[in-house]
Amino acid sequence: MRESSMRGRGSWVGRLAALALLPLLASIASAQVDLSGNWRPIDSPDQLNQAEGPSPVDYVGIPLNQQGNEMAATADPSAEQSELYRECTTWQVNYFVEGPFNIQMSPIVDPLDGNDVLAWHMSGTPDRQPEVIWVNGHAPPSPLSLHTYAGFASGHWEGDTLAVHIIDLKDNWLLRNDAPESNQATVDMFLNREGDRLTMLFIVRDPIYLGAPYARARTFQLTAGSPSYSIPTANDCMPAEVIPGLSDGYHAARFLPGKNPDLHIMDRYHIPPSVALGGVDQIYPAFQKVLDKHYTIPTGYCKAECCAAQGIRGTQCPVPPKAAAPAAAGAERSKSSGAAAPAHP
Amino acid sequence: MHGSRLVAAAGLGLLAAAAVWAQPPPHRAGAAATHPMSAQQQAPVDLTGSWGSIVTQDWLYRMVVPQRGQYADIPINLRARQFADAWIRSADEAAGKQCEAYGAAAIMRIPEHLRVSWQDPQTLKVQTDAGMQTRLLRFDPTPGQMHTAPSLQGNSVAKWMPYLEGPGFVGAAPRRGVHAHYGWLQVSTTEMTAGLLRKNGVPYSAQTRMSENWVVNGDPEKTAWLTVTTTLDDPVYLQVPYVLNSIFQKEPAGAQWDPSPCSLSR
Repeated sequence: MRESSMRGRGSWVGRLAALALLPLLASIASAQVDLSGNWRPIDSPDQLNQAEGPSPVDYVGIPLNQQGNEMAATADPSAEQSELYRECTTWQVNYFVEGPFNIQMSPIVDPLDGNDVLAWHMSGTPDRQPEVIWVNGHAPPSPLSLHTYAGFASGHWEGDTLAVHIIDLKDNWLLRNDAPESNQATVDMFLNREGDRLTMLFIVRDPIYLGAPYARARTFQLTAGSPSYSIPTANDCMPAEVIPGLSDGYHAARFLPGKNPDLHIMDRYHIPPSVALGGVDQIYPAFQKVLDKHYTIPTGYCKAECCAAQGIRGTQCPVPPKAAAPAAAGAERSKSSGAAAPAHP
Repeated sequence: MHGSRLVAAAGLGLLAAAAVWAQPPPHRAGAAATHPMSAQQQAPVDLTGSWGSIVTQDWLYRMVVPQRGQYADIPINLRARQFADAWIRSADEAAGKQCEAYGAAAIMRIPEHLRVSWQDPQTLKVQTDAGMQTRLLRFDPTPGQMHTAPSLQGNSVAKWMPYLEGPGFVGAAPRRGVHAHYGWLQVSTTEMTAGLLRKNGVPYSAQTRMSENWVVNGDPEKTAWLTVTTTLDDPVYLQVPYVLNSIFQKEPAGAQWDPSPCSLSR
């Protein structure tokens, strides 16, 4: 009887202590949202860019300043491939939201107590350097420290959002078409977990090449399975070959101003070179008034890069039966033709 | 035995501390004890003010009107393609249908400025300068407000998703008297009339259901960003749900506001 009573009282004390500790445990748990898992992109902005990469001298929507314009417009990708230090270049951190591939998140837990999350490890394909996001107040490295393609990332929680600030990045390309990014660039990244979705907002600031923040967003879905590594690891490093006259291995030749053979590549969209080179103003709505002076809707029917790239999201652009294809090869039919617009069901 | 007392005392102390910890701040608890908090009072983030589109994504399909047949990025089905291939801009313009490209499913992608304000404590009003449209996001709509005829902007039901204590609590009904300081807005829109996703004829149907997450982030440079993640589910014209993000930046009130009518040519 006594033994039973003691056991009961001991149990009561234990329960009380456990109950009392619950709020504390909850507060520890609530300090961080679980981001672990394999995340699959479910939106498709600029989808054609994700497959073959953006066209050369297609910098529309990038707030490049004048120096950025000049760097981009004179870049010669073939010569850059002979720069030895770029042999093992990985894509910049912003390619976590630019590319079509999954990302993986996993916590780095304090090995001593096995509980506290010290950092989040974010990885994608092998051609992107994994990002370690320190959330434990890890001090930043010395200003003289080596810059890397991942940089130094520190984060803190704002509710269910992980706010990340990245510094010490190595100079790289903002996009695969040689839009430049300097080693002075910083990235602010917000990982907003919304149920089984993760929306990432990326904001790149670069005092050397950008005149305004470059913001991109992407939404991912938590998904089972392994990451979608579709790029062989062997491709991580591409052998560079010094080309006499174009490169000494460390410096590459550039096109002279106005001599880039791709300068008019955006003419197919009726976008003049002055706009194709990007610019600060063109990311704001008021730029439409500037475009009124430059732009006319191309006539005819789209012939190239008209549909989603096949296979990226498992959806393909439907091909209509030949009889239903646009008869006039897409020429904008006029009111006088008497044709009526189709009606919604 | 002595150890048990110590444990019990420690437990009671912690329990007392936890009870204090669990209490809402007095100035909030008092107000909530008698009246339920309105959506405006519950707002975990401030969406009001002026916001401007930042067009860095899909620039070629948003800042300019793309060519006929340019359907990249949208998971259209064959029926949508046939509709768009047969669509005639001039016919829609002559019929006064320019605003079909400014319906709820497309309006957040138009380069524009937003004015967000509380029409009443339960309704957020979102006005656009481009196309001069108004969306009403109702937190607690009456049946009469919801069962109306389909319209361009449809019926939108809004719900705060407050972050209170942890992931398990996100989306839970806010506890009486507790004001969350983080969270986002979830909006579900139905009862839309059919419209255009893209000004080259890509359609969406009246059966479209739209859900949106409105998230505000503030960066170290003191810039506030609004990201609206839209998911369109259209059984008539889409193969799979179409997910897209629209980014806005906070602006000084009214500085850039430039009302313009609906247009299919710009």
